[in-house]
Amino acid sequence: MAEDTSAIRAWRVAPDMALEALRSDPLCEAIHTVYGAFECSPDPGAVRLSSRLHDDHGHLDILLNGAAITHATTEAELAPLVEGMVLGLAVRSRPDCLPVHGASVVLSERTVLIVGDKGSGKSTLSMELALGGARFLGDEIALLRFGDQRVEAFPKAVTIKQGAFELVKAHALETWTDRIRGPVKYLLPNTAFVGSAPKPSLILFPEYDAKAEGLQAEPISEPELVMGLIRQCFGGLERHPDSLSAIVGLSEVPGFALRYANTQVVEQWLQERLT
Amino acid sequence: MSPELKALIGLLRERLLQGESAWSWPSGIDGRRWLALVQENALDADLGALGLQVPQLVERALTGAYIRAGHDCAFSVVELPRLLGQLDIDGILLKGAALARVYYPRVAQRRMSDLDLLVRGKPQANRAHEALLSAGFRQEGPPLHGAHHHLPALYDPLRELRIELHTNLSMPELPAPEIEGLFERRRDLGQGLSVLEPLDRLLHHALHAVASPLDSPLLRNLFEIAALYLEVEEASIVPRARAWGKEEPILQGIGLATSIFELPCQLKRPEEGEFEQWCRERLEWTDAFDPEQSTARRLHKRIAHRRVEEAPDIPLWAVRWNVYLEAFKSYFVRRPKLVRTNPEISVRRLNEGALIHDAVNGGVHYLAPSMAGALQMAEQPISLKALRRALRSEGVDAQQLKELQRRGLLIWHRPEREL
Repeated sequence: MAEDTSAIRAWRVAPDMALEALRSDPLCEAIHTVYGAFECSPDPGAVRLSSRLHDDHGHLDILLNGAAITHATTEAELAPLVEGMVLGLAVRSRPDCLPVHGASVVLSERTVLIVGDKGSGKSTLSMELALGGARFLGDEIALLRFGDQRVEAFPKAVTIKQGAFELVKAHALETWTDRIRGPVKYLLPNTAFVGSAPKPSLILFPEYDAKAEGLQAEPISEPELVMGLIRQCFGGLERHPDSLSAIVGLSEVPGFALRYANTQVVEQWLQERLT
Repeated sequence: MSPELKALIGLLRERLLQGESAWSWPSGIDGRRWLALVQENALDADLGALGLQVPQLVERALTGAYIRAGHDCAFSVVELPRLLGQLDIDGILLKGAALARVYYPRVAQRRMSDLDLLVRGKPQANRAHEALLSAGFRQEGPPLHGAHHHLPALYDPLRELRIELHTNLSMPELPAPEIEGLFERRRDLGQGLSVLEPLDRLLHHALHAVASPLDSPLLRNLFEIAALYLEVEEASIVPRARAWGKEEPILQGIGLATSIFELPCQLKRPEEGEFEQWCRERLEWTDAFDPEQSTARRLHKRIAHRRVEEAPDIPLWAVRWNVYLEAFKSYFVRRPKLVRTNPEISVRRLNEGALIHDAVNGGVHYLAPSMAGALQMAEQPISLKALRRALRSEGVDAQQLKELQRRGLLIWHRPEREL
């Protein structure tokens, strides 16, 4: 018997990868919290995510197409768990792009790529820029198309760790429990969009430093920029034979290392630079 | 046996017999060493799922491993049935890929580096091999020469999937009717996937766990043999193992597993010999996969390798002498050559220099043009003297060569006497 499609919610996280969950499943809300921007109409080929009670402790198994993958000890752990799992599914489903650990926004019609390690401040910076009006392409993975290096948006909600809760206190956001990172909240800027943006016009390597005075913006050389991008490649250069060419294709884009304590000064600097 | 290994075996034994709830962290053991043993045996994701009461440092490492494994395995769980269906490949999941679905409660608990698939006969295996190549997989390593029970591994870096197609379970091969029997008895998992039935699963695992104890997570393999052993009728083991023509190695594997975990076993287990003693020593290792090993450890590994994989019939003392002699000769009869670390290096011009990408270790370097030239010249082993001569006209000096060595792009290589 065919399933009632109104009972299902679906998300397309890559051209060839749609996910679905029953609205009655607690996993549905968790997925939508993180990947709400990707919502689509039900797809018969979608991968079914579901949860089921595993034992007397109230542990919830998370299943993909019926196979138990991992588990959450409480419902509050569901969103962080599906965040990483779906990210892995989505990135591995993109043979057309070079995935880079980076955030990206469109400001004054120009794409800005913000690349950095965990804790560098790229998520917070992209969120602040998006809340200030920039179009939000993503905070964690930038998908650079082979050939023309256009950015395919991946607007997963921004993950906000406990240290930055103050920044989003105006928003009524649920707190989730990440067993590695601790308490987290998710914020999806309303400027988020799914689609393709022009090749980056500017590449930033931010470093948040609470003691920094104003903004220190140092231009970086082509080799430094290329090596910085290579270090942040998801899956390494072995992932695709065109990876190195795609990165070399970005080597002429101006790159800056930023040190700052206040994202507003970065926003102001960007506005001046891009206009 | 070290207290840490004893504690780990104790935990696994509790799991085998009554679940993990009765286990508690023993006093007086070194948490770091215990964790290293867990990681060496690829048990971290599994134990991370159990919520054990362990020191915070250990707990964080185990939980992190389990969660990351969940992120990493999700794609293969979705993609494998889709891929096999699309390419019309009918096979039986073997080893880790099977155990992850039928023994462990969740797939993330069983780490695996590749997916082993048994297909019916060589023509089907060759067809599947070609289909995977056309779907974007690449063959890893050189073609296998001579008779082999599996084809060279195939890897797709985009999907991050490694698949090994098997036509038999071991060498020497099981008789053809026995392979047919595996297909007749297999258990359907749905979505076009199937696994061996429990007795076949035990026998296959027992064959493999002791076939390559050198580079495999031996304690985990023995744990899995013990777990599978507890699921089957003991009386059915010997007749099936005999039909396979593998009674001795299978009983050796089951014997070692039941002995390590002190499980009651009515089977007539072979007497423990030097091999079993070596396996017990191997269980104490925590750096078998670390390339920066001490000479003593490398000697030990080489001895073990010779004994286990190359010359199982030669007495261990003779192997030891042979290896020591080789090491001695290797030390004094050095014929070093300078050689590129590997031939899979791609170069892209950038600005005045070049980007060098080493596809084997993933390293990337930015080099001045003359240094990139030196690297290109050393495609074949070349003595330092000859290389210097060749490069004199290119403006490369000894300092630059040393820099290439420091970065690991050029190395001293001793092809004949390498230990």
